[in-house]
Amino acid sequence: MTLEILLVDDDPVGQYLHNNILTKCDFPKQLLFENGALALDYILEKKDEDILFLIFLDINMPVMNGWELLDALHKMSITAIYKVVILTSSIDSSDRGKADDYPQVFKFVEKPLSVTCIDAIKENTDLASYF
Amino acid sequence: MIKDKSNYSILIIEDNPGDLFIFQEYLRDQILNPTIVSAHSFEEASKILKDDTQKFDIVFLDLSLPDKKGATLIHEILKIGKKVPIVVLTGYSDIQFSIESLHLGVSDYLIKDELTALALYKSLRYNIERGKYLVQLEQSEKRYIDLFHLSPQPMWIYDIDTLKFLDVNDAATKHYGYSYEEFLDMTILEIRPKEEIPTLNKVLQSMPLNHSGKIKGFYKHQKKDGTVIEVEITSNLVSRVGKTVRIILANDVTDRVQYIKAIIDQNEKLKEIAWVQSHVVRAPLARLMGLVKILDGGNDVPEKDKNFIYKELLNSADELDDIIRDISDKASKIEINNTDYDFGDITGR
Repeated sequence: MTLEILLVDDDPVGQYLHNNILTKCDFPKQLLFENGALALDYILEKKDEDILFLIFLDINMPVMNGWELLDALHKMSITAIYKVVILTSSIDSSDRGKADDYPQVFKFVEKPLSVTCIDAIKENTDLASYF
Repeated sequence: MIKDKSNYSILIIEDNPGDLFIFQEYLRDQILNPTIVSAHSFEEASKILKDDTQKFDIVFLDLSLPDKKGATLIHEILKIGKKVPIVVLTGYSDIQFSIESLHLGVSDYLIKDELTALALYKSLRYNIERGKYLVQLEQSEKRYIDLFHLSPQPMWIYDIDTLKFLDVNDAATKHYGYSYEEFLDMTILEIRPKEEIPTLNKVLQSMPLNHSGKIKGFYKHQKKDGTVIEVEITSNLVSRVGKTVRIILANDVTDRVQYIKAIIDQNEKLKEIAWVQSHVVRAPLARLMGLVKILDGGNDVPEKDKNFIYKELLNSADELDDIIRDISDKASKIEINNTDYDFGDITGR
């Protein structure tokens, strides 16, 4: 199984920042998507190729937002092949509570993403073997 | 024998000097020191009764005086009698009329030919006491009527069959703008906006008809000038002259309801501001923090990235500025403090 990193964020600055810091922290190449629908299409296309998708997901996006993407993925029963880190500028506790409803979301991060935070992500039991 | 020492003040209206003499003797027989005033005609009696300096405990009245007789005499004496008990003195020939005179408001009647000192005394004591109770009863009734009529909150009584107003208090006429007479010519349907009537009919149909018929609720009423008001109604069934009617207490809560609406409205706006704080404000701020952190990395930032970073730092700062101006604009539109709501101090501060 190989690891693919998907950055789903409509904000170019957000994409730049995350791309920058993840690369610095030795993450493999990241694929950038402007909204949930584009990411979903990509995952559907490659879902049978033995890939683990690590999705850094923004919440507020046009076309398909973060929650809608999570709902769509949840309906497809492919939980084994993706893991989600929610990356949001929101500090609203209700968003954090909502994230708990999705078992594939293992981390809820308030922007900006920090090195300490990335280290914690790397230590996740399902991911540690890739680093 | 021990005589009654109370200070009775007695008026005897009697034209026959012999009878008058006997009454006086009888009274003095039982009472130590009575004040007895006598009148020999209606004219004389009315002068005495109209004189406010003299207050009587009881009046004995002969039914045939030279200047007035019978029912007319009783009416006239009652009119000026200031509620002093009146005992009619009569002969056998007039006994039937005397019995009927009790209906006219006379306290008692005594038959002259059968009179004894003791019987006269007993009648005097009995009728004075009875008179006092009647006055007390009247006062107590008046107090209850005052509670209704002088209540600062609108109250009315309506017939549960015809829905007609039977009585309304001053506060109701003042608040709703209809006169007392207009109210009595209306049904309770006529103080509601038209669209409220079906709801009211439903409520009326489901109302319990027994004595536990206590009801509380909020309704819309309409004043004579068309203004619709929100009222809190408390009502109960009461017995009134053998008929079951409903008594209503209406509390105008229009101001209070508007105040609560204003608070809810304000709450919505505050929620919106809170949402903006946590979502919208945080976005450019997070960007600023991230960008600055990259610059902090030192010399390994490529030149073209630096240009992008500076441009985006400025953009984010501008965006933040716009958002904060927008919030300040929204906050200034919260108008609750610009309206006066007079409830006294409800904050407890």
